[in-house]
Amino acid sequence: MLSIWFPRLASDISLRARPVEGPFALTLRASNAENLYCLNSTASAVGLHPGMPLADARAVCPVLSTRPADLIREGRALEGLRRWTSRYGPHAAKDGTDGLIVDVSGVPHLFGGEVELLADLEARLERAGVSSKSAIAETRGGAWALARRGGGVIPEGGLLSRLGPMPVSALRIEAPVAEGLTRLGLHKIVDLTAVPRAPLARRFGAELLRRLDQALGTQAEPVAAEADAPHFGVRMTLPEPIGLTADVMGVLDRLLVRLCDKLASAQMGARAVRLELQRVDRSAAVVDVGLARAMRDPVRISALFLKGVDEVDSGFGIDGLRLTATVTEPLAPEQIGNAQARAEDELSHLISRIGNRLGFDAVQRFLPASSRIPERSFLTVPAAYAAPEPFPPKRRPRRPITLFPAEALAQVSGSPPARFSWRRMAFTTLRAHGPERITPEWWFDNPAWRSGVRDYWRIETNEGPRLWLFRTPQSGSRDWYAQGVFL
Amino acid sequence: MRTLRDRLQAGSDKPLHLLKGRVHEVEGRGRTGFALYHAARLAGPIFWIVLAHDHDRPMPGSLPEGVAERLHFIEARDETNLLWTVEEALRARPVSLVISAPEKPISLTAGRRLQLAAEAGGTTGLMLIQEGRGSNAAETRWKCDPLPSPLDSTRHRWILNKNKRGTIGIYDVSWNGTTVAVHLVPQAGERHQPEGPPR
Amino acid sequence: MTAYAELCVTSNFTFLRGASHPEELVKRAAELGLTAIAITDRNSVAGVVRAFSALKELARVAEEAEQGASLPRLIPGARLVLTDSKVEWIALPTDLAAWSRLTRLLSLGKRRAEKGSCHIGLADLEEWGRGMVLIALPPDPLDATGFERDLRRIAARFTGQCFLGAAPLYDGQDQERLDRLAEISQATGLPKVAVGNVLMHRSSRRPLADVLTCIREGCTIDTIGDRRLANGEHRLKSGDELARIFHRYPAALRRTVEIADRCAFRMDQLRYQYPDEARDGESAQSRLERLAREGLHWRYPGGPPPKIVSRVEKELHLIAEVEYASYFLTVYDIVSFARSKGILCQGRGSAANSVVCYLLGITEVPPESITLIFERFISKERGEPPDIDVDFEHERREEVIQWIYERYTRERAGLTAVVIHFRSRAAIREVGKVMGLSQDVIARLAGQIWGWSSSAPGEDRLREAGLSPEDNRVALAVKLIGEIIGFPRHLSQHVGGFVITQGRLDELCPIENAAMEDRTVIEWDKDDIDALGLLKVDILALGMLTAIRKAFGLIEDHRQQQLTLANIPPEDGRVYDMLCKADAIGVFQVESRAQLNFLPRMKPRKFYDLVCEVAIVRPGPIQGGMVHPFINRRQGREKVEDLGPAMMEVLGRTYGVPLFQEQAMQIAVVAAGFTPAEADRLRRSLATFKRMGTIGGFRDRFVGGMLERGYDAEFAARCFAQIEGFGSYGFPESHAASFARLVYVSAWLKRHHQAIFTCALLNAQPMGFYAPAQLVRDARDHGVEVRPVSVNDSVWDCTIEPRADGSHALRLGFRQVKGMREEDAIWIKAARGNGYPDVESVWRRAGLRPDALDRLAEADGFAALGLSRRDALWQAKALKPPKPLPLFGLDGEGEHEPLVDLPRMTLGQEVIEDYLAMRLSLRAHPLEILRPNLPESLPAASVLQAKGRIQLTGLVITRQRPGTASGVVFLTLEDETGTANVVVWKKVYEAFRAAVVAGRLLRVTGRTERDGQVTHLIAERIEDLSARLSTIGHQLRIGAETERAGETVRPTRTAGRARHPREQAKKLFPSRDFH
Repeated sequence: MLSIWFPRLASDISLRARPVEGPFALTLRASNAENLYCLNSTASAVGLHPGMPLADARAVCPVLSTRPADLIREGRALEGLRRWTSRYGPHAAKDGTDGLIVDVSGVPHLFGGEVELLADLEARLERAGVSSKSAIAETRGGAWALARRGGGVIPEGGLLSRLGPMPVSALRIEAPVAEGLTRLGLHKIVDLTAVPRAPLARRFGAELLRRLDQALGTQAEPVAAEADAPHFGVRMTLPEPIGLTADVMGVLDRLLVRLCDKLASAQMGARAVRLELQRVDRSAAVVDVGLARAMRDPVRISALFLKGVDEVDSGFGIDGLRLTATVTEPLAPEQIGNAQARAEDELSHLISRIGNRLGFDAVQRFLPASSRIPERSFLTVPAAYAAPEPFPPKRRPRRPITLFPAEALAQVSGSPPARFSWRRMAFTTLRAHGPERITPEWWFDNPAWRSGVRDYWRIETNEGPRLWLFRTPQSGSRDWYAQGVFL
Repeated sequence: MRTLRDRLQAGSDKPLHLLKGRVHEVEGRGRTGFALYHAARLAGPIFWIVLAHDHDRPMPGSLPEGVAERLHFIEARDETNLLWTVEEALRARPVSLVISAPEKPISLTAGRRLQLAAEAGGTTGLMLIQEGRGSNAAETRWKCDPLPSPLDSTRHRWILNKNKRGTIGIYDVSWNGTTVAVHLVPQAGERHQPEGPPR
Repeated sequence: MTAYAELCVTSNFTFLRGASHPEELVKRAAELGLTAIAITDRNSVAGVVRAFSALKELARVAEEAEQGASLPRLIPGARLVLTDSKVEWIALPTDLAAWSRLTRLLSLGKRRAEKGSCHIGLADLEEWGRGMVLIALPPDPLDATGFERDLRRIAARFTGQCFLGAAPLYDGQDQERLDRLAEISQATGLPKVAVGNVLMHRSSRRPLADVLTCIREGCTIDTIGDRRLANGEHRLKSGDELARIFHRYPAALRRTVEIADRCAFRMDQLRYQYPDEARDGESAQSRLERLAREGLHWRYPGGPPPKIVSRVEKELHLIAEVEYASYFLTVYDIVSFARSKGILCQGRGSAANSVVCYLLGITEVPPESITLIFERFISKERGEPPDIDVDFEHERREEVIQWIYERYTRERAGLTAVVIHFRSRAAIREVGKVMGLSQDVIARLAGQIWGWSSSAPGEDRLREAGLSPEDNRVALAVKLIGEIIGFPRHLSQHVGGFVITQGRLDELCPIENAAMEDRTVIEWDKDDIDALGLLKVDILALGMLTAIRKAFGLIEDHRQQQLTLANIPPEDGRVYDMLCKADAIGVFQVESRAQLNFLPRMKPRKFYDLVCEVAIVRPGPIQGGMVHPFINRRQGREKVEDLGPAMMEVLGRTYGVPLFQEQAMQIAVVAAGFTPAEADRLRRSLATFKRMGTIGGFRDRFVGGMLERGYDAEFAARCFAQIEGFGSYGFPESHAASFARLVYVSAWLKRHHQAIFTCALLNAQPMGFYAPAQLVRDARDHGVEVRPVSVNDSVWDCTIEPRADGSHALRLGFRQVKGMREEDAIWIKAARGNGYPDVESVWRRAGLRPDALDRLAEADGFAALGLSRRDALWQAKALKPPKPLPLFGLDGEGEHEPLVDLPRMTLGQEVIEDYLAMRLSLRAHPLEILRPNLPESLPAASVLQAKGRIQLTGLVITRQRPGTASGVVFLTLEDETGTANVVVWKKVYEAFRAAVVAGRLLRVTGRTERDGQVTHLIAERIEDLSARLSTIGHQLRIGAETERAGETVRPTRTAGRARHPREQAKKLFPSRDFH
């Protein structure tokens, strides 16, 4: 058994993406306090340790740089490492969130021995910027314990002599059990072997004995290999290069059918699809398509590719295509005849089409927000990524139906204006309601509101339009502005 | 409300409805209000397509009930993209209303393409146009303006100037902008005296 | 200028709503020239007295400046928020009777509801609303239906009293709203009246108002949304401004003034009658005189000195004149009740100035031992009531309180309130949360605050907490923190101040339920009661009295000696010898670090020295810079300056240095030309002056007055600084004397009965400055045998056991064992019989839960049974459910377990286990075990003799970082020989930050510095040796090993079980950190 332990996995992968000099730590927010989660060796060296409150750490080490921990990314990285370690053995599994266990039975001689295998493994990981400790032993428990206490190899028959002097906590038992044992003076694993088993089990439960037996090899503990996550990709190599859009689209359609079948059998749908086109000269072009919601309809997806494929320069010709669903989501089998679902599907397709041409940011939806500042009383978000939310019915105070950035009025007379011109049109006031005094949000520096308090008036004009005008009494300016039109 | 009421069923705003599967045009300073009236009236998703440099935006919190959450608001870089998007949206069956504010006049060809798309999708299109920049392909053309009145801030005059398959007309309406209910009111000349004391 | 009376003002006594102090509102109203201002808090009158005092102060200032400025009238009132109506009502009593009805209405609503709320319905208002102007505030928006019915209902009941309030909102619809209100007014017949609906005195308070909203609603400023104030228009406005808004309705404005004129009730009309304590046809005065005469015989068995007799006559005469006999009798009755129940008590405060109090047994300070200034206690001119405070044992005070309620009923007696203000810590915590600072930053900022500081954090502190002061958000937060400090947060009950009346108390002031069961509280605090001239009896709790009573009890049991506070042998030289050596751990008041440092310099030799000692180590004298001159002159290193006969009369006994409150007041009279009344008002009203900003005028007059009379400017400034300090922290001489009594009594007990004294202290915990570990250690240093917790000998409390040589041993009780419950201890004792033979029998006979047995075993409580800690634990662990023992037989039958041979513990392990279980060890000090590995370090005991640069290693006992000491940290280190004081200057702190902040075991290298008999170690180099603690016991070695291996312990998986050695040490060897 090979056990690999990544003592700094989270910070290693974070630093690999964006390196930082000096002490560095990832922080995790737990029940309203920010604590250190994982640190680099420089940070450990100055006396910081995981679990320490960030504020304490800052007091000790003011130059500490931090980033929030990303547990999902950490999990993904561990999964990647797991797939990679299958080179050392067919059965590899995650062991906690920071370790791997690999069944290497019969493998070491391929590397010239167990020690060489470990050296190869650690060298490769080090080159990849991931610090690790690894150990090989007959049992999983033995390898686990050794990996976390320096690493190395336990030769056959050496389990007890090697594990014996280790503290009981090396047995993968819960902390309270370990603490209870040490209180009784049973510090080391070897101490446990000297105690009669029945009284021990009576006091600390059968789990302790199971762990002990597993470590010392009197009870088997196999490694269940994890299945690889399905990969949604298809490819095709062409005997003759092609160059016409129609031809490419033809091949693409065949690939799409295969891809969508794959997705269907896994009950998944694609949110993003990437087409890689390999040119004869080994250069490649990429067309990415986004989907407003998960789908696996070849015809629809094909249509979205048309514009992108058309823009690709085929050069001396294309002789290979690769199609991958880069982002996927679970998608239940279609319900035939559900009009509602079909309509939603069609709408999503429309958004996808527009999004792929104008950019998904251009297709917007409004969500309610709470603020007394008119332009902050709603949010504008990409429609593809946010579900609609109902706006609460609210009729006070009155607000215009059209809103625009403040536009200065010209030729104003009177206050509130009796006569003014706006957008090169002259207006006279019929009725004026106001003022409604709105102050800026004092905690939020909004450039548009730096002139301070606004007194808003609803002005009904003799010319028809009913306008939302304001002036800024604090700025000392006598200017008037228009910011909206009422119904 | 005599003359008009006589012609209409009581409380009905039928003559104000736009024909489904066709593209219509509206001009005048009250055109946004007119568009919102139809947005409130028609159920289903609404697509509102404008040019990115156009700063006038609907203010979601004060739109008629239920409109803001159904609204898809699209900013197109240029006129070509705008028309392409309008056509796509019109062609989509689930969409109920497509509102758009192009800047340039719509060519006859473009106008016909839009009509075809609307027909295919069974969708109603409403183009908010600058005065006099209409397309001959439009099914109807309206001119809408708020009507100043010393008593009432909810008056609008909606004039149907062009109608390919029906009569034209002038409608004075009172609409408070919250619900679908629009009241046709007698025109200024025919107004009877208000009951409250004049101020 | 348009005349206008503001009738709707919410002060910050509507907690978390109003954004200005009543004082600010009144002052602003005066500036704006308003005719009147009503303070109308939500179902409360808590803020009106503040406004009343503020107005009095404004009047005084105006009078002094001889300006005939007309001030606004104050209309006390309340805003009634009903449970069954959308309409809120401003209730303004027009006369005293209506005021009483209002307070009874509020009491009714408050007694019905849980603390802090009030349930009043329309029907209640109908029943109690007579004689009040009632202004309806309809809900907004006005289109809500149904409320007009409520208007008609109340208006029909109180014809001519009801009005319709119209408040502008500045939301663009004010004119429409006013029109609509006019219609409603027409329809309901309620005349319309303009109101401002004021929340703040100036619009600049708007951000704070929003922050209060956030705290109230539990949101942050980023999620407040439209709950924030749209604008700052809820501020006080002038008549002209309102006239602009109400230009179409001038009558609404005029009506405000008419209403103000109708509200004739003023706060000073409250007539308060003290309960008449006449008994059996004997009038109060003659009863008091009789008791005083009896006291003369009791206190002076050999006949009273003539001076005392004449003094008593004088006092009784004055008491008769001001009719305070009943008040003395009330206190006498309370004290007599406590005595009858064996509850120890003693008067404190200015009451010790009264011989009558001494004769009645209320106070214990013999009048001949201090300078009595009866006028300080009662004065005819001042017309202010005396203030008798009595301390009771903290464990038994509740009995006294319930007796008072019983005797006077809840309608007649109530505890005074304490307004809990935002102080730095709470302000940082709450405002920080609102402003979106992260919890740990907030905790860090708040943790830096030392004691009860009242200022916003400075830039240095911000940087230390990892914040940038330049950041806009941070700057705003700091500004708001500064602003909210001093705001009332909620009402709490006073520590024990009772107001008792002859008639109904709830006709004077609303009574509400306190958070504690069976307590009822009035809405006003001590200052308010003072301002209105209400009498208060303070029933206070003192831990030391509990300890002394327990010590007396033990002495009676074990020495057959009956001691009382009064019969402790006075002026025992051996007691003073002990104090001079700063041997005072556990002694009342003088056991703190500062006092211990001070004792050897002060060298007390007589009771009066203790009085000075108690008074001098206080913020007042320290702020006033009085400490050094005093000590120098006492030690003869400085000549006592002759300040002239008048001043020497005042200051002679304290070497020309003012130490006591009354001395400062007398200086104001003698040296600065104040009248006695003025001087006393200065002291009493200091808080008001500070809030009103009028303190400067007093300072100028005081300093000016002293300069005129030829005193030097620096001395004058010092005296004034001290008066300012005294306002909040100073002791009057009589109070210091009462405390000095307890200092002497506890010191006497310590000197003569160390074992019993320590036992009593341990049994009265928590109290005092030191943890049990230090108390036990101190006892052992004094040769007391301390015996361990034992299942066959201990009870819950610590006990005294006789030794063969006739001395006493101290047996630790189960209360010292962490996690033990008193109930378990009682069962162990009850089922003990002739003793327990084994662990199992404890489980079976006493019915203890297995985890309690674990606790006992871990505390080595089975040693008496010949069981080692591990063997006992091994046995206890076997008793765990779900498989209980009976399966294995009760009498030795059934399955026998194979014997298990557990490893023996080393001394180090035993010590660590002791600390784990009890936070103390009788075996050894951890340093003793580490000593062989610390060849360079001197023992703490030898630091006194050391010279030059030395090295010292010890556990951190306390860590102090006074806010005033500009970044200096004071550490107290302890080793097996004693303690040492370490001073860490800012630079050194910066360099060894981590060690100073988090270290438990520190090695300090530095120079010794001697100041008299006190030696400090000035740190130059500090090493954190906490990891060494883990080498003492095996337990912790695991931690050390994992650290070496570089194991990262992940907080998510080891939730709450930080295994780092330093974390371990932090738990085992806690330090008391004062920031």
